[in-house]
Amino acid sequence: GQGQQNLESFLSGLDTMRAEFVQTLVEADGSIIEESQGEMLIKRPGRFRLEYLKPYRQTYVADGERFWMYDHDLEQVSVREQGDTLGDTPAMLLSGTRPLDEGFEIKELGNHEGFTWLELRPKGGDATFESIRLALEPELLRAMEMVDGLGQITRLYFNTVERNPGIKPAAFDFQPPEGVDVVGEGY
Amino acid sequence: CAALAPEPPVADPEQAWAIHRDRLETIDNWGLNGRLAIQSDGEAWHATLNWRQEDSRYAMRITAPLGQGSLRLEGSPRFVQLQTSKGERAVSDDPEQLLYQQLGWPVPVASLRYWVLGLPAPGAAQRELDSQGRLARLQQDGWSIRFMDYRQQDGAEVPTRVFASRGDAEVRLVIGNWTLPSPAGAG
Repeated sequence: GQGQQNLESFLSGLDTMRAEFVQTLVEADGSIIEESQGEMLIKRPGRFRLEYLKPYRQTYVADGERFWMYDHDLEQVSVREQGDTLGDTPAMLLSGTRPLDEGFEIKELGNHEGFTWLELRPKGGDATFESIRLALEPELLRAMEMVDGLGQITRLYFNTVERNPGIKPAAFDFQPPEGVDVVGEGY
Repeated sequence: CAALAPEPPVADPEQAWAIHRDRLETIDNWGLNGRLAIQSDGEAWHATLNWRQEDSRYAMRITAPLGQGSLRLEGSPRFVQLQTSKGERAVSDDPEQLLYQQLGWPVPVASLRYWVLGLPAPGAAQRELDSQGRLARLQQDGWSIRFMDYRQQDGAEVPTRVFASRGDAEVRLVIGNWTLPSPAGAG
């Protein structure tokens, strides 16, 4: 279908990606809980960095081996092996190289709001969300919406997207800052 | 919000504390949006927190980052219900025991309701005041709590960072915005 074609043309040959995003957390009744902004960097396979810049600072990095989560105000870093927890986070979805239809049932939702929409439902039972909706333009992914089991939606809207920009490998390393608690496997 | 300029110490912190405490104790309906971090035996989580308190009834919504699920905790002094986006439901008469049993989180919900405002919970406690006569540190129920970054709002001064620890457990809150009753309505 049209959605899947757009997605495939977006993902094929995608080595790196940089995008500025606005994230909106929406309650099942449609009320907005929180809005935040940041930048996402992706290097396939398996590396990404999400920097939340406003209204607070948070950093998420998958460095190829481990997944780091750092909230600057809470002064806490948690770290996990990348393999077991990450299969289905949105950024991992983009940076992973497994064919999507292996892990997801894919459904065409047709055109509205000027995009072609796809819905992905995880095949495995233990996914942390119920479905992901993708808003696609001919060669571009414009938005991702994760819907969880309580109907809460985390929407990532990419207002700028750069395909295959040059990104220094160091952008996907993470060094816990001084004086911050680091908690997790192997630490 | 502009950080409070360092104010000169008050002449009598104990008297200033009595005034702060009386004002805070009139606040029986409030709401906050912020973030919660938890550490407990080698694991760590952080999440977005939305908390509504009406007298002794409360509704909390805790949302994991990156669309990885959420949970709702709703209760009153003798009854509490937990719903998670994975479809789990559980009820209890004690929120702390429920969160610990279901998620392994050591969160003293009944006390946090007071600590988050910059008040000791009912019962014995040792406290330390800051130069403005506000709560700086507290020892209560085996927890030691630090209160930081007070903010002036609706005729009250409330903390925006509250870090509590007991043994190797840590529960930290950063409050993005408060919803407090206006002083006139605080009767």
